[in-house]
Amino acid sequence: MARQQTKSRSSQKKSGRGRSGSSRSSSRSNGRSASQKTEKYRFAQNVDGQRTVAEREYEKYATSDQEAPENNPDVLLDVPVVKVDKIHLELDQLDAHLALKAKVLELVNLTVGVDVHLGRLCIDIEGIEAQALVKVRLEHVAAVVDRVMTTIDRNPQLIESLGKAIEDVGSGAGETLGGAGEAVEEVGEGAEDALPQIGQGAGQAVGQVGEGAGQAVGEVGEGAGQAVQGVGEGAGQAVQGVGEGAGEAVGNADQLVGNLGQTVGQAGQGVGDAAGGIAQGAGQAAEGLGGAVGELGQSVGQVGEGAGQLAGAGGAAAGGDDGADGNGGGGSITAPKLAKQVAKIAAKEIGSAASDEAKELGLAATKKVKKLGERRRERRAEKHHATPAAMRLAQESGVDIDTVEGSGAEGRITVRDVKQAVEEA
Amino acid sequence: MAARDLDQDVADIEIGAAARARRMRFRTKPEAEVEFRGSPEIESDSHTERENLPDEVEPGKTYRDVRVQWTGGARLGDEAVRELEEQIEWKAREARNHNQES
Repeated sequence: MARQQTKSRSSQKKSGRGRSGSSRSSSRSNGRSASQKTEKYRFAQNVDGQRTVAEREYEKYATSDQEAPENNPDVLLDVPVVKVDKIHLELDQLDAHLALKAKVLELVNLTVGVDVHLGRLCIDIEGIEAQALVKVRLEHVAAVVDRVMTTIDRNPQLIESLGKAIEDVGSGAGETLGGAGEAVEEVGEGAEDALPQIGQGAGQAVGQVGEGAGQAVGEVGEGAGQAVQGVGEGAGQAVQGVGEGAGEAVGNADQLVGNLGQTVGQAGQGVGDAAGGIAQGAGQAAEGLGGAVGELGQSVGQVGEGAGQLAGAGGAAAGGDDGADGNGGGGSITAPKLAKQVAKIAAKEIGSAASDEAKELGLAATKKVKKLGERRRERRAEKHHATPAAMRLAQESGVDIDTVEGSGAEGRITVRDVKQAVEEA
Repeated sequence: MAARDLDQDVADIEIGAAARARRMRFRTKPEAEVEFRGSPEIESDSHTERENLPDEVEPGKTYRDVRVQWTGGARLGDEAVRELEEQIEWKAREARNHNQES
């Protein structure tokens, strides 16, 4: 990790921005406050002259405007400023994980994320101003997934080839379709896991700020909480969008089932009309083909169940009470678009406080993402399922990393584990 | 589908945090660890700026007029993504050939 100590950084803090970015701002310059308006009014119906106090006050601060439009994040969590007069903070083993995940069948498994670990921390601070910013861009990952889905659409044999040969109408075909069902289900689950994690992780982080800050930050905490809620809701909507997309994938699976049904029909067995409904097709297949094809029917049923669960998950993630009614049909609204809406909502809710430091933060975070010279060590660390820092410490301490038991995420070896191993040695 | 030509400098995930404090005193030596990770391969970078706060703080010592700013980002590696897409194309060709033979 690159580190640099700079003592020449000039302050560009503007005066007169002491108020927090909370949407519960008590400012009454126009007799209105954001908290008095309905969700609809605040989120979607603001027009010139009817903007909220925070929106007017921080008009010139909009993180997304600092960048080229094509670089706008799809998910934005912006805590412009948290001010605390005095705080005593104790933390013990705080882990935060933020990750963007995408999985398509066994073909693609993309993950980009960051793990933050804080060991024991005991600190007294006075006169604090803190800011935080999280940006997630789905476009890169979405482009890869889109490309893969297009390839699959053009080459449906690709799915078939992942299982056993399709001529094996018996258990082999059953497994193939079962696998397809599970895989399609995983698309929804993966997205469902990943996107709420953004909201949850942010919620936890902001929650910590809110808890520790006391009354002075209460207002900010509430505002941030609302923003996080917005992010969470947005994540849910995004999941719904992904679920819809996955629904389309299920549709492709339906076609595959239909194709298989036709193949079986040509074999003279008469599967029936597979396109007439997955469950119905499964029943007919089971009746028409006996034991071997019964497995096929079962697997077709699994596809249906997978689709049902997926649709349910999409509906539930969208925040509706009737999650089982989730619609798996292809929609025109995509996850990135929904996420962008959420990002705008979150930014408005927070109030986008005018902080030059925050601007610099956004710009700095957007600038250079270079290849680290530590790539080689990271690879070694990955091989040993350890963090790079843990790997470095093990080398420095002369500890055989293979003998250390990991306690991090998914059993990953962390610095803490290596230190413990050193102490025990 | 033609993937958008993503700017080399645009990260998929970015995190930034900044804090300033009038007075700061650590009672214990803090342990902090930040790791970017992902698959098939990611590129990451981070940057820290400190003012009046050393890399290794001393418990019990009071630091004044402290500023700390940390930014970091990660993105899927272009090369790894290209390799992944090539693998999928290869599997698709293999599946097509298998289908034609049968």
